[in-house]
This record gives sequence, C-alpha cells and structure tokens, in this order.
Amino acid sequence: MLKEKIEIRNLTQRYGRKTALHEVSLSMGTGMHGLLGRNGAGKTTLMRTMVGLLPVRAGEINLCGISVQDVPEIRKIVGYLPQEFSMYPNMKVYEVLDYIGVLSEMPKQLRESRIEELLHKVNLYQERNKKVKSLSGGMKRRVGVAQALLHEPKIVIADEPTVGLDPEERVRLRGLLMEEAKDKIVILSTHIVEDIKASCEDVVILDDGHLVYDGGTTDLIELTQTNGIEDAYLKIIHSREVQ
Amino acid sequence: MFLKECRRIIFSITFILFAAVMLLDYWSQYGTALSTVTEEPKAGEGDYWTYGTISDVDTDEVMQAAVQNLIVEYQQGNYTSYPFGYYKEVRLNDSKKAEMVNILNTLTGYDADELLHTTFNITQYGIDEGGNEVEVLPENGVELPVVSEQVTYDEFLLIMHQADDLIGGGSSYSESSIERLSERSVNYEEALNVYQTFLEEGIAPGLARLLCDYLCIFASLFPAFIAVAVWYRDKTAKMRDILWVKRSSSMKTVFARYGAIVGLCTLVIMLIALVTAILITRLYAGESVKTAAFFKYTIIWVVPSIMASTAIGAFFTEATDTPAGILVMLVYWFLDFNSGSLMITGLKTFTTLIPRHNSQFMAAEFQTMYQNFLTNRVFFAAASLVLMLLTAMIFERKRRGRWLRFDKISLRRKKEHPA
Repeated sequence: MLKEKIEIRNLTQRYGRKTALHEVSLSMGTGMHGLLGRNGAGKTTLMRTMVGLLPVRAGEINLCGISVQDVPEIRKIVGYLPQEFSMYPNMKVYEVLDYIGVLSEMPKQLRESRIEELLHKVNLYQERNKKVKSLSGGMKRRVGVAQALLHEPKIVIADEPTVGLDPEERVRLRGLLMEEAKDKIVILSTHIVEDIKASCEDVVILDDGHLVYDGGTTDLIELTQTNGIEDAYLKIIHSREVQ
Repeated sequence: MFLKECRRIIFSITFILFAAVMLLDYWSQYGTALSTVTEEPKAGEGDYWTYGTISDVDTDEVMQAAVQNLIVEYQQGNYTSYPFGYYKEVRLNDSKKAEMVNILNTLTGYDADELLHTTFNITQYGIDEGGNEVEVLPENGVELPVVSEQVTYDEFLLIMHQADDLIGGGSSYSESSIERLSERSVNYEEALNVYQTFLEEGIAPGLARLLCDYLCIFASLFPAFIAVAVWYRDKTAKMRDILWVKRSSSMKTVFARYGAIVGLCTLVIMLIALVTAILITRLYAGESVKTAAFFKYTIIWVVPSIMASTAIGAFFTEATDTPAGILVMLVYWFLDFNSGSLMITGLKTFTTLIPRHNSQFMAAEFQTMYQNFLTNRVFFAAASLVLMLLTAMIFERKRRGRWLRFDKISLRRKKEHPA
C-alpha cells in the first residue's frame, strides 16, 4: 500500500545561474491543495520537477513513498495537466483519449470504460466524435483534465487550469478537481486567489522561488489578521517586498 | 500502440503523398515493362541496345579517344564536367594548367607550347550550311602519338583520375565515364544469350531488379517526410508534456512510431510488388515466371532505404526540435542520387543509399556485385536501428529535462515554461 503523501525536502532548482526554487520543504496529504504565487514565483518549476520533467538539482521529493528520481514509477501514479497544452488537432476527442490511454498502458476494456466515464464526468460525451480543433478553450481544458485522470493516478497536478476560462467554466473545472480530491492528492496551481478560496483547504504560497506559507487557508487568515485569503496573500507578498 | 500509430499515420497527408508519388513513379517508369513482352532478338536487326552493353572495346581506342578529347578541351581552355549530374564548364588556374600540361606531356610527349599551337588530326564537330552537326577533320593535321606506347592501361587510368581531380570531378575522365567509353552495344549472339539468361532466371528476377531500381529512388526520400511530420507534430500540437509524463517507455513509444512508418511504407511497395507479380504473370502467360522474386528483391532492396530515410527524419527532428530531418535527407538523397551510377556495378561504398540497376538484364553483372549489395543493405538496416536507439535515448532525456542542458537552452525552456 502506497503512502498517500507528498514530501519535499530542501528542494533547490536552478536555470543556469538563476535559482528558481530555494530550499523548498513541504508536505501534502489527500485533498485539494492550492499552489499560489505570482508569475515567475516557481510554481511551474516545482510541478514539472514533481512529475519528473525536470531533474532534481538538490533536495529530495517523494510522491507516495516513491522518489521522484524513479521516473518510470512516478509516471504510473501521477496525472499532469500542463499550463500550456493542446492535442493533435485532427484527432477526435475520443481518439485522443484512447491514444493517451494506450500511452498509459491501460488494457483496452478498462480504457474504453474509463474514457466513457470521464467523458460524462467532464460533460464532453456529446462532443466525443468532434475533432479537437473544433473545441472551445474550456472544452480543451476539460479534455486535458480527462487525460490527466484517465489512468486513475494517486496524484493530480494541474498547472493554472483556469487561466483564460469564463467564470462558468472555471467553476465547473474546479468542481471536477474537488471531486477527485476526495481520495487523491490534487494540486491546483494558480495565481487567481479566488480559485484557492473556492476549492482548497490548504495552500502553499511561493514567491520568487521561496516558500512563504504552507498551511490551512483559515490559519493563513488568522496569521495575517486579515478578512480573507486575498488580503492575506497580498499582505504576505507585500511584507516580503518591504523586506 | 503500433496499431494506434499506424492509424494515425495512414490518414496523414505525408503518407498519402508518399503512396501517390510511389504509384505515379511506378506507373510512369515501369509502365513499359508491364505492357511489353521482352522478345527473342532476331538476327539482322542491327541494334541490340535494349539487351544491354558490354565493356570490351579495345583499350587502345579508349586511351586514344580520351586523350584526343583532353587535348581539345586543353586548347579551348574549357573542360566540361557533370558534378552531381549537372553540366558545368571549368576553367583551370595557372598551377592546375601546368599540372594538366604535365599529364598531357606524359601521354603524348608534347610540351605546353606544342600542345597549344599544334593542329592535331582530331575529329571535331561543326555545323554545315543546313544547320546540321557534322564531323570535321582538319587539313594537314598532325597525327597524335599512340598513347599505349607511352603508358599501360592501368597507368592511363591513374593519370585520368588525376586529370579528373584537377577539373573538380565528374568529368569525362572520371573512372565511371572512362568505363563508359569502353562500352558497346551487344551483338546478336550476345543479345540472344542475354535473352536466354533472362528466361532461365525465371523472367521475374530481372524485372524485379528493374522495379526495385525505380521504387528505391523515392522510397529513400519520402519516408523521412512522414517521420518528421509525426515527430514534429508533438511539438506543434503542444502535446509533449502530456506524452512525456505517460507510462509508456521511450523505447516503446519511439519504436512503435518507427515500426508504423516503416511498416506502412513497406506495405505500399509490397502492394506494388504484388500488382506487378500479377501483371507480369499475365503478360508472360505460358512462361515460367518466378514471382517470388518481386517480394524478395523489394524486401532486401527497398526496405533498408525506407528504414534509413525514416530513421534520419526521426533522429534529426528529435535531436534538434526542428524539421531539420527534411533538409538532411534532401541533401543526402540529392548527392546520392546524382553521384551514383545507373548500374549496380557503380555500388562501391557503404553509404550508397539508392543502389541502381536500371536494366532487366545484366544478371551476371548483378551477381558479381550481389555480396557488396547485400552488405550495403544490411549496413543501412543496422545503422537505421542504431539511429533509432539514439532517438529513443534523446526522447527519454528530454522527458527527464536532461537534453541540451547548457544555459542558453535552459533559459529558452524557462521562457517557454515560466515558473
């Protein structure tokens, strides 16, 4: 039985001379976790490192007891929705999910039933025979969520999934991830505070590669003596700027 | 996964284009062989070119003809060459001119001044009053010394090689051109012998070699386009991060794609071979036609070229993140196609991607080169697999963020994926 926990210790990541993450340490269990920070704070670097797309320069990451260095095993338990992605434009929605299911080495029967289940879940069943290029931005994001959940991963990492979506689509997408978070570790990266407020109990705040907060959202409000997450977040960021 | 990749590729524009080009090339080049029965030569026809050529002209005549040609070009100051098959006029600088004089001096005994100002008894071509090309022999021309009295034929070939080098290659004095000077059409008896060998071999082997000669030309080029399209589409469709985090190993993903491209291209040429086998069997009804030769030669001749072309396209696209594979393949194909001989006897290097044998006859010549030919084909198949292993390694390194990690690339990646 795998431990359902993410543990990161003293993670430092660099691009050439620029340090993108400074000795970040944190721990996450089952549930929905917000990853908040401005553009360039280090969110994408952290997530790409967690899914094995970037090598660990210094420090340690364990996902459900598996070291991130063991990339083939990590690929089995992680579902990833990148910030910028698309799909093969001439493939139909069903075909693209089926192709990804094959890459996830799912048996045919399981693949078919899981795709059908997810298409209903992301409300794209009617669009299953439409080509990807004919989908709206919101629909593409939902296909993106479906592909990340397809192989029933233990951990789901979504990088800025709500960017560019209209309010209705944002609510729908957050709802989807919240449902998955009942028995999975879901990390929702965003720079939109409202997404965190509406869906996460815990939040990690990164600023300029430094971990500035890791804990509950209510604790954050209490700690900063503010009226809401947005104010609390701004206060933390401003206090760092003053320093 | 292999079948999924096949499905993805079979409806792609590049694959459809490949199939169309192969069919068009087949129909336009091979149509005559499909509709014309090769008949027994009849005595007294006088022209047996279609049954091939033989290289047994008197070497003395070859030497004399080559030196005459070289003197004319030296006097005119212009040398004709065909680098990569294209016409080019070459003028030599002073030091090369001096070297050319040394060569002519060795072959004729004349010095530079004599070579330039003597009117030799050499047939040249002119235009008559009616505008027709006519042979002109100068009046009171000086007879050229007999070249074979100055050097042996082997020495002569070496000297001609030097002359060709001075001109820059591709001249009438290159090895393959000199050999062509010694070619003549077969006579009736020889044509009859060629025809009987064609029948005894079982008709199909000769025709299969001619088929492969045509098929291999474009089958060596277009699979690279398919490979580039397949590999580069991951980037243009922004699918890479999604694909890279999936469970399938890099080896499996890369080889499933490779296998699908090679398999589908092979299917096209095998279908052509099948159609040819049926049509030829009908055309030569009543004769013993060994149809298996169409499949045997197609596999050992054309498939290694398909494998190589696909591997070159895949490797350079994966290694550079650009469609560079197309450019590399075009340059390689162009140089190979234009520098090769039309006959298998021109197959002298491991790197000949497109072995030529533009004849349904000349079985004996083919057999003498058969071992070289097989070695060449095995080399290309093996090299392709090695290239694909490297492609899979690069693919895996990219998946782990470990490909081209020096600063500029890392910064570019940072720009593409802001933190």
